[in-house]
Amino acid sequence: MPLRPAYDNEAMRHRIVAFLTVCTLAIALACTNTPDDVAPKNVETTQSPEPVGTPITSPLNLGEPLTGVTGMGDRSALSPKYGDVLVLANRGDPPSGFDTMRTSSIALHHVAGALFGPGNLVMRCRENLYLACPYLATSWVANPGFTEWTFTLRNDVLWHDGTPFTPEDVVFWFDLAVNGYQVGDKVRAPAYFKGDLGDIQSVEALPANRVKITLGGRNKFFLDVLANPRIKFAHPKHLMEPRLLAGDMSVSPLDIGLVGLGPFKFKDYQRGTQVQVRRFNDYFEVDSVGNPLPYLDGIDYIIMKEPIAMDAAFRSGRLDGGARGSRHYLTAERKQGYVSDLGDDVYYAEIEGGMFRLAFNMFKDGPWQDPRVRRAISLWIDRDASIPVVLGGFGWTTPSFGPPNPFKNKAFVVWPTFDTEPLAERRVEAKRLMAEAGYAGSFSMGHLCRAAQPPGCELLQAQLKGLGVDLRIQIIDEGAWNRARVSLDFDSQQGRLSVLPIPEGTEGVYGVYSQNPDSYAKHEDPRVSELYRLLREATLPERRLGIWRQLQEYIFVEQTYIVAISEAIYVAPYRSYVKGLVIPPEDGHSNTDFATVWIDQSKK
Amino acid sequence: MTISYLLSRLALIVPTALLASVIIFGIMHVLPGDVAATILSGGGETTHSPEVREALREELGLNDHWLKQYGTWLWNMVNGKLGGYSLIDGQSIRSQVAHQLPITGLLALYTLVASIFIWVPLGIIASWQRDRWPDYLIRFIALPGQAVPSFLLALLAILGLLLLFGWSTPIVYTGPLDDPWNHALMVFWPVLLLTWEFGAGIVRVTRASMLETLGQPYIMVAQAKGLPEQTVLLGHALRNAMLPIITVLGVQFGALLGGTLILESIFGLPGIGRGLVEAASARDFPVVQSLVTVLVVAMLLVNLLLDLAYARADPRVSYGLAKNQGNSS
Repeated sequence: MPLRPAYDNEAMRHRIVAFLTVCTLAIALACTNTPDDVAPKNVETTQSPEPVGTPITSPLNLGEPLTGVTGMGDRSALSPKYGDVLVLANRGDPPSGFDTMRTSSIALHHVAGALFGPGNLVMRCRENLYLACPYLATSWVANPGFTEWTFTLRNDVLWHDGTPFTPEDVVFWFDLAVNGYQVGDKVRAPAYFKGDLGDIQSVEALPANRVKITLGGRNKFFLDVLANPRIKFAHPKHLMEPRLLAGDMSVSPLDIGLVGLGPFKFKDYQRGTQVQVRRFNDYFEVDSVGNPLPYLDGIDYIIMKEPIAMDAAFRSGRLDGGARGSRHYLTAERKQGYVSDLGDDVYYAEIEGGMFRLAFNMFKDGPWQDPRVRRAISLWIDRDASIPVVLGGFGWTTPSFGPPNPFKNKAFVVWPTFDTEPLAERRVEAKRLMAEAGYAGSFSMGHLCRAAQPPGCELLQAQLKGLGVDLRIQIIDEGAWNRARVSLDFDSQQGRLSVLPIPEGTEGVYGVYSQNPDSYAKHEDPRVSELYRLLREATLPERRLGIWRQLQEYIFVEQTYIVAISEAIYVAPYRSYVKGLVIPPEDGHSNTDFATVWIDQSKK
Repeated sequence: MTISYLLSRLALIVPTALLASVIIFGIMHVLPGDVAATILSGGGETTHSPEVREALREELGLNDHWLKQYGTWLWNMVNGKLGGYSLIDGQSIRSQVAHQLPITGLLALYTLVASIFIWVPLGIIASWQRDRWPDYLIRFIALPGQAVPSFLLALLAILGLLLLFGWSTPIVYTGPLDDPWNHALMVFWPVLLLTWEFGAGIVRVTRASMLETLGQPYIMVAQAKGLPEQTVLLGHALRNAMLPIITVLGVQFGALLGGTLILESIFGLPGIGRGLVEAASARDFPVVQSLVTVLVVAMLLVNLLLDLAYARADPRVSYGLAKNQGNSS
């Protein structure tokens, strides 16, 4: 049932035209206003009196603005309606008591976007997810050294229990994330993303609703770090602190009633069945014409472990949208069923997904210590064959970031740009390199294989047999995977982790093992560390891009520590009457924003 | 049947459950993997530092001596918390069991009742019509249920319903008292498939047991006396053929309590089997230990009830009186 009458179409059109004009100008200004190496004194990075939906200058601003919102080309999308409850599948129960500091499970993020909001002090702009936009902060100022960042908070933000959101909440949250908590001999662990936040020295509440964050070193890209949608404020000081002081170190957002700042407030959670959230009427965001968000009355997240159960429920009309998360994203075969049953009534959101790769452990002795052997393996693998077998039919052959990412290495856009010869010729070269390295016969190499991904392991095993590499698959279950992948016990592995979609964010998975135990390839190459150091110090976008490309070529071609094979395209189904959904070009794992979603009843 | 026999059987439950919990504790601690890494990795998809992982291990008490960890769990079992709290989500295991056990229990109960009312009569008919077409037909229907894996049957059922009727089972579980119709629609298909899966065994045991009984001299006497066939079958043969049938039903009920995982997952039923496997794969050892202990106790109670049912079904069976009457089993 709509909360308010539909808008007057004529007035609405005028307001939209005006808004789009302003947006276009703002975007154009932002694109031309790329940051340079010389920082003026006390750089005001943004000053946005109307923060919602207005893209601002961001260090990430290298690409074309993107439209990632469903229904933008549809006239009906211009008149969103209030009301209705969206029914979405969710991959599982949100773990860790919905604690966004504790875990980054998609089963949590899918719900957390609604409960805790799409951002923290800043968020990724809805119109271009590679830009940072204001969220809980209206503006920010960095000192010339980019070591002190002062944020001015909105003064109209309320927690779901009606308590005002204050600078003290921000100080408490950062302290909890970076330092954990300690009462006597009881401790609470810091947030898992503590490393992503960098070296935070202090966070202070200042007068006039401001917060100053002091960093241990220069970080011009701090906004991009904060814009990571995994980082959400789900820990109100007035509810968390008393429990912590009482010694309840593991207190979670669920324990305090899931009181957040997002567009929807918690209604009910039945373990293994569903999570229900309902519209928060005092939510602070408004749309482009000043109407309050969110449009929906609520969202029901139905916990569905089995993709086939989700498919059946969706195809029979019980769901408005599918779950996000591997296994639940559609394969080409499953999509055919959707198309045959529902035709054009389904919108298929496509999100750049995870990479299928082979990474070597350079700490273990073996023929793969020779870069010619690693290169030969890279040349030998038929990358195209992996897409139907490993990625369910949706993917492409390229390493690292997705195509719209401003840091995409254009030389790698479609593999094998770097290896342009036909597969047969590349395989001849691979054989030659193996012979040159003295491994014309066969050798054995272990391969850590996650139980959920045997097709990838089997594909590699079958293909590499032709090169004389006997890949010994060592399958482990999910519980053992997280330990095994950071160990040095295996000759090679696939790795599977998502990172920030900026070059600096990749060091955790491409960097040296001693500082990055999660790295796919276990190596200690100082050249890689050096390139990352240069990357962090570069501030001119072109310089940054250049180093990043150099780094990729070094890792994927010159040294071939990692054989980048293919990248998945995740496909999530939504009924076509679901409008205004923000579809991230990548990082769909945690970029879950439902504030702008509405349901077009005329098409339901 | 003496009270002391009953008490001794009940008392045996305690050491048996303890032993099971020790074995499970040992297995969970020998298995590779780390619940702290599982939590922080968010399904194996994000990075975290060893420092944070170590701090979380400390927070969760995973660095404590194994005896302390086991002792904490044991204390939480006996003080009414049913094992304490999940390491994965920090929620009470007691509330988890209170939520999940009735769902699986109901599923098992429905299956048991359906099996009794469908397969036991069919088994009797099969024995009565031995080597005639009804016998062949009944066995032909029952056997695939046991031969085809239940997950495959479930998938076929889901796809069949979707393709033939454009229909799927409801997606939000409700209890039988909250919304009986929705509850019935949700459990109908899993119960049907489980009943089919267990049908072959019940039919075969019923048939074989009845055939053996029908060959006894007293049955021939009853028939020679001119008693109606129905009276001979149900009044004389069935009662004596009941012991193996009760055994099979009891064992299958026990198996159902922990063995409905796949169907629970596919049909969206948040039962204890699904909870157990999720906890085991995350190495959430307090939950695994508690759920296994609950299932062990349930299984022991089912066995005890079976023994009581034997005595009820066959007057020759008695317990605890061997010394006085020289008649025990």
